[in-house]
Amino acid sequence: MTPDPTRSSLAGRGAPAGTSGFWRADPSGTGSRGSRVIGTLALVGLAVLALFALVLSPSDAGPNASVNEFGEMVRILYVHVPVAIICFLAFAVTAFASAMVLWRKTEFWDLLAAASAEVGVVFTVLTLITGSLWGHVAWGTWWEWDARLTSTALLLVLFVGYLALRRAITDPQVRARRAAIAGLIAFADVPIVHFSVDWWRSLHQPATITRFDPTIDGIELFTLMLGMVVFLTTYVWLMIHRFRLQYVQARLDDRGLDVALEERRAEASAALATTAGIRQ
Amino acid sequence: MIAAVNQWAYVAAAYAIVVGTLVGYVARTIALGRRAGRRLPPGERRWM
Repeated sequence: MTPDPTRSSLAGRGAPAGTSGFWRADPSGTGSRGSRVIGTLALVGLAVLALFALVLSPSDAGPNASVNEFGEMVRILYVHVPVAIICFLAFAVTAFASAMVLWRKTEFWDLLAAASAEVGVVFTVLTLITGSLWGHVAWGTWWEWDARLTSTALLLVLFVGYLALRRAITDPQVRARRAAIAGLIAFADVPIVHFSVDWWRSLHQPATITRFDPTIDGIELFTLMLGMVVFLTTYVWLMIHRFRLQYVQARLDDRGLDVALEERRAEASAALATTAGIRQ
Repeated sequence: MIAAVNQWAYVAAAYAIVVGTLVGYVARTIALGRRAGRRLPPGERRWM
């Protein structure tokens, strides 16, 4: 699957290779001025989030506590919920890009799907770990085979399988098509994870903010929203770099294949010349 | 009081794991990008 210059590109349509620009990566790696701005925003945002989440935001206890009375554990929500939502977003991007692979058959969408799945797996692991820490205090157990937890673990297994499938197939076109189908199938678990707390009896509490009467407000709601913005910025930074990394590796794989084919041709030519020399 | 201190330990662990994992992943991404990016000729950096 060779890059099509008429199709969309992440670095700017029609921009000649090697030119400088805000989004054009430096020759020394995958970073650009644009990605450095996003990275700086993410770092500053993370520091501000830590300030709000760990210092300025009150404990969920006492007379002003919510019905849940989370105590200090409410602070885990400021990272757990955003990280979980970003993992859903990452897999939604993978599913959309996978559908585009099947429709448009371009390398761009295939690389985008792969990059987002990688980032999504990292965020899913973080979701499970922070959820487990929460559960140990709130429910008295690190793990429970409850609908929300089990379906989230299944989501992780499905997308690790998706990444393993990508590594197992060497032909880029076959890999793109099969991975796209696998990505769409794996994404079917995302709505199951989301609605599991409504469909089955679950230890996990229902949605905190995705309904019209959120159970938190004021500085707690602001901190949660700040967490969403910070982790979304982090996701965007990671996507820019992981996409470029996928692209570089694909080109290097192509070059490696070209070199191997040249070597084989040279060996074959030498063997033919030797055979011809013996016959003469 | 003991319960609150105990809860802070879980909170600190959660933040340390999230930040540590993301920082590690970012560092690995930058390192891989630098290593691979240098090997790619300028003419092939269309989506870069």
